Amino acid sequence: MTAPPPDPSDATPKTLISQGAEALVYRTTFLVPTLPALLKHRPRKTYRHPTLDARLTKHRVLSEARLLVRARGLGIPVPAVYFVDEANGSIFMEWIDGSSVRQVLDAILASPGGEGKVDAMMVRVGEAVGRLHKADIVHGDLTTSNLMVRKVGGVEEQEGGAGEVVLIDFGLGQVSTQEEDKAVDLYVLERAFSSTHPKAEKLFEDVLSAYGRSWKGGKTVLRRLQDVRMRGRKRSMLG
Amino acid sequence: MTIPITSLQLEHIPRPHTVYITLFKDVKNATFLRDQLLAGNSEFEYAFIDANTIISKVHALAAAHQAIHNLLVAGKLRTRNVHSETVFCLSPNNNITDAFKRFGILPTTTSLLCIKFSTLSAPVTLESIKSHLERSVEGTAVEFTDENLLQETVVDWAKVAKNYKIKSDNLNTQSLLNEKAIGGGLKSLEVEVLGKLVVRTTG
Ligand SMILES: Nc1ncnc2c1ncn2[C@@H]1O[C@H](COP(=O)(O)OP(=O)(O)O)[C@@H](O)[C@H]1O
Ligand SMILES: [Mg+2]
Repeated sequence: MTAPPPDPSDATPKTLISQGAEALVYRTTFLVPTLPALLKHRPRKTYRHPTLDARLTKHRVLSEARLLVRARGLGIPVPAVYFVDEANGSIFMEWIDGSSVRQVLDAILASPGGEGKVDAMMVRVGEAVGRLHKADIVHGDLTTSNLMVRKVGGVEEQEGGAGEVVLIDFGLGQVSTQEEDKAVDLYVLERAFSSTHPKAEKLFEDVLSAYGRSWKGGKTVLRRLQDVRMRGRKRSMLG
Repeated sequence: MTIPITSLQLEHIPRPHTVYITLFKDVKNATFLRDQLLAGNSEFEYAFIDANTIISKVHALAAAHQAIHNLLVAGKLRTRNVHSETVFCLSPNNNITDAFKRFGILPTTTSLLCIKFSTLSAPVTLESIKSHLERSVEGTAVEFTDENLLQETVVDWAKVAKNYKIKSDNLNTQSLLNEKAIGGGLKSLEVEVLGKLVVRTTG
């Protein structure tokens, strides 16, 4: 993939790994060539007024960085932030060595009986989301691509996804005490699971029960999830 | 005596710039050096850091990186110059006085990390720094490496834990060296500390 470099005067090698609507994401290094890092850069949007664009970019970058810092400070598994350049639209953060939950599910569920191997990963997903919600942080885009699983001991751990589950991509996150917002997070994740793999829908029950056990408010959010599902179904019936 | 000086360019920071770094152990004239800073003696424009508070090269470089960034972005510098800014940028909070007390040179300092920047507007040569430090610091210079920070200038783990509010279990040189040998340890602590430095900048 090719894209304009985030800063033309920056000679450090970087590889584009993802190009979303908002951000270009690179694998690079930070400070020294031996420290791997992820660079998330929001390029200028030339169709917007420059002053407005600069303000929006700064706001989004700081919001994403603050949520990561807040979560990390509470011991919630998210990447550590290394450096924020809000004027340039960049966040440098810890490189998570591993794969997405989506990739792990794709790899494991492809083989018969694979379901049995991911139980523990489901529990860790539920617990991670539970801890996030306990801290009144709502993710806003909880998909199986925005959940990563660390490699264990430097070896590829697609088999079983035994590593720590790490929440990434807080670009749409916010601080919220609302049960509704938390239930919507779960609903989005549920949809993501069922679209990742047909067998994954059943597995999601393990995510929810781990979530319900993981913090005091969990059960209430699960009840609220029922309402959100109902509304979701109605909406899809109306087309 | 000729002292080893590390000179390097920081990643993602526009060239030309150079960072010169020297590490001293058994320093005997910390009071004198500190007095020069306090008096604003322009010959002593260095970041003088108490090396007992520094866990690794990357730890020190992260502060230097943030400081030079603050210098290059209009209105970002919070202290007198890029050198004092480096000491400030080691702190997880916005209290400047507190940062100097925690990370800067004190009369009691015996392990000293000296950082000097050469920038477009204030270029300095390796030779000039070398001869100035050789004349000014009474101590033994050692190379700026992770091993020397851990074993020669010695890390005060209790201080590190307190400065960054990190749990101090297993926070000691031996366990880190053991873990480093198998490829973990120091790296995960570095990640944690770098994350703490950013708390100040995001507010
Ligand atoms: N800290 C990280 N370490 C490793 N890979 C990451 C990290 N953050 C993001 N990625 C990878 O980059 C992709 C895009 O990053 P993300 O923050 O989700 O951007 P977007 O907002 O464009 O979705 C992720 O799906 C993941 O594969
Ligand atoms: Mg994403």
